[in-house]
Amino acid sequence: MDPVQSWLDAKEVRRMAESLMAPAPEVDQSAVDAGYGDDFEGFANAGDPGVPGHAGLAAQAHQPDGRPHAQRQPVDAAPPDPAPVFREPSALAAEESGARVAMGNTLADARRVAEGSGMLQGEQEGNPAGELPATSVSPTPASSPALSPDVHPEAVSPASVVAKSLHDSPFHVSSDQSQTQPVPVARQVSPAVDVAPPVVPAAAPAPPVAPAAAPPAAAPPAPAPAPPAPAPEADLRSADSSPDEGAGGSERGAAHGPFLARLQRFSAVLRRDLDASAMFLIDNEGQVLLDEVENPKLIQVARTLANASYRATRQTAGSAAVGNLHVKIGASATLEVIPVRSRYGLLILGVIFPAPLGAERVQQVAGLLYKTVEPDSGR
Amino acid sequence: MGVSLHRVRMFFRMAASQGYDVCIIDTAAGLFGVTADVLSACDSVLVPQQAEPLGVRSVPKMLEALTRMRVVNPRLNVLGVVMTMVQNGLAESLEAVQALRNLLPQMMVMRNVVPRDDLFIRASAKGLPVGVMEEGAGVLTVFDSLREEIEARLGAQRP
Repeated sequence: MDPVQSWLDAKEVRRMAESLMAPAPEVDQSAVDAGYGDDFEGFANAGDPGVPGHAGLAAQAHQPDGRPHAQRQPVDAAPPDPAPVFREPSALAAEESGARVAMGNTLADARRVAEGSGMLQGEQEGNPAGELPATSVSPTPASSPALSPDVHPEAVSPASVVAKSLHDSPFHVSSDQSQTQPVPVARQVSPAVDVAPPVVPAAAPAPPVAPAAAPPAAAPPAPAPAPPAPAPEADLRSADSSPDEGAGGSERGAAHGPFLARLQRFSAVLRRDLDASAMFLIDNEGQVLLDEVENPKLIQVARTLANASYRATRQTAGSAAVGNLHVKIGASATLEVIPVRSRYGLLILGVIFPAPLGAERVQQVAGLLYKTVEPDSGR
Repeated sequence: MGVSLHRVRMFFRMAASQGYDVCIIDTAAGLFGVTADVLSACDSVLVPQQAEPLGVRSVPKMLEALTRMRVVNPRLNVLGVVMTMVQNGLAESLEAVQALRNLLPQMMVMRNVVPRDDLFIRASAKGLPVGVMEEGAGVLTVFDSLREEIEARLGAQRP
């Protein structure tokens, strides 16, 4: 017995499938969205004169017929076909009108709560009736107040207060935005003499990932030139201070001084030996220590991946041990994410390579980074 | 249906305003509730279908539901059906794939299929995408090919 064909009407199935695969007909946008308008987002800011852009938007929006929500027809439904194949307009209409009534009641309750708590003080003049108007369109902000970082309270206009109150988020940005907590790595890296970059033993048959130079006591001479003599150390500044000479990053929390120099040499090694194009290094709090990629999205992806793998495997020390974290970001670009545990916490290295690295290479890179961060670790 | 529609649309507008070209939403099974609202507001739908006889027998219901959804959202395009959990070592699974390819229009069933693999279970246990698992290179290739196929179909639909 045919496991599939005997259970269904093949001709009918094929007919439905072909009709679905046919290009969608060009539909007049006004017919589809007539009930909402081009900028419809919801009923939350429905017709409040205090909301900026309301007057202009109302001119473009669908004008209601003045009837309450419950009596309005669902205009987004297509006109009834005399001989429809599938006919459920009445059920759809009932659901739509019921949903709108529920939405309107919910908003009315929310507004009453907002008024009672004083959040709408000063806005009552714009709507003396204190009721939700019939129109259901609102301006489209570039970013919704509930979804975007909060604006400074002093810069909030009355209109945006109304908008914000209706989209009130339970989360509020702290007024204290000063970064009093120093960046762990920037403060805790010991002001040791800046030794030459560590030597990573070569792994056959792959070419070795060799540093730029070897310390005087080490054995193998490296082909690259020797590093500059270590300068007298100064205590690494806290994240609050402004950067000075030799600092590669001007942003708060970025590595600077000898630590930055070591990171830059580490980056040069990756570029030379592994064809890396750019890298970034962040700590577990998201503070950027070195960023050559300049793409916050990639940094966020790396942070998410690294934290997820760390939580999953309860990694305690050493280099990444969870598979090979990489994300393809382009035709010939892969973001390799390598978390490294150090005494300063979890550091997350992101490097863009032309292709994913093997597990062994990942271990080598992680080991090299560890020695770069903790040159006196002896590992 | 409709209770979440305004929030879905608001979400899409936010994504568009932030510069995203494509927004993919993995919805719950079924064609009701929030899933129906998402289908009411989206441009295209991709239908995953398990490669087994019992799953394939539900295809007619799925097509009927999509046809009804087109009444609410005339712009809705069906990108295609992608076969998932295909077991190359099981004849019944391969037969289900072939039966669906024979039943539906050629363009409706995606050329790329997603194999059944223990790696998916291990990845989900770790909370990671399967592509980042150590042995995930092979599966990543499959999804890359599927992505290219979807991009081609999306590009063909744009004017």
